Amino acid sequence: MVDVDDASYLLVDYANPETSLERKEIVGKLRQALMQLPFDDREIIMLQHFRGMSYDEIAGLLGIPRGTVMSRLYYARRKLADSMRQFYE
Amino acid sequence: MNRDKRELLAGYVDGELSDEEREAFERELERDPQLRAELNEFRKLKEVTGMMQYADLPDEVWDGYWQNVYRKLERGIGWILFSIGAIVLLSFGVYQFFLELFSDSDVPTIVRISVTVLSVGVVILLVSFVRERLFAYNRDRYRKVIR
Repeated sequence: MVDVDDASYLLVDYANPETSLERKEIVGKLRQALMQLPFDDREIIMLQHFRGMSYDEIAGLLGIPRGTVMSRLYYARRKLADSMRQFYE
Repeated sequence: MNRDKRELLAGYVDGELSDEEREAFERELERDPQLRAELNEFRKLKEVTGMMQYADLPDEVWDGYWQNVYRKLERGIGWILFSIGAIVLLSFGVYQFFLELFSDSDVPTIVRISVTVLSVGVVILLVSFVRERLFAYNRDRYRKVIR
């Protein structure tokens, strides 16, 4: 049965097939790091980074103030960046 | 700056700040090397996430999802109807049993007393069991974990 909460398989690297090994590794690590985030953090990253939604759209969708969107994005990115640091330093 | 630096940093990376906020944030950036380092880090993160895109769910995934929803719904309704019927029948049976027991003069008093004591014991055990389960449930930190 499909676990709809585990959305890792939805994130794909669209630059194949000539994608470098290093890049594949980074994308794999990113996918893993995203899935380890708490749900609220992952949700806001998904909406902004992968759905390309504006802050106003996210605020409307989640029913939270725009400032909260900014704040949640900051903390979610902080956690994601900490997980990913070794790969883009 | 009215907004927290960290909120502005998120907005700056995404180009979501007003002109006034952006200028204020850029002034802050000149003063704060740590903020500049964090900005670079977030820009790189955005670049990395830009390598990926969000794919739409394939149809078979949605089919599986809805089948699961319908199955749960069907079974839920089945169990509710079954439980209602069973409770009504059981209650009626118990009521009839006690009615017969206490209205029938042929039943010896010792049997009436024994059945009453037995029934009270069952009720006490049931209440005790339910109370214990509720107590454990309220203190179970892992009850939301799906196994």
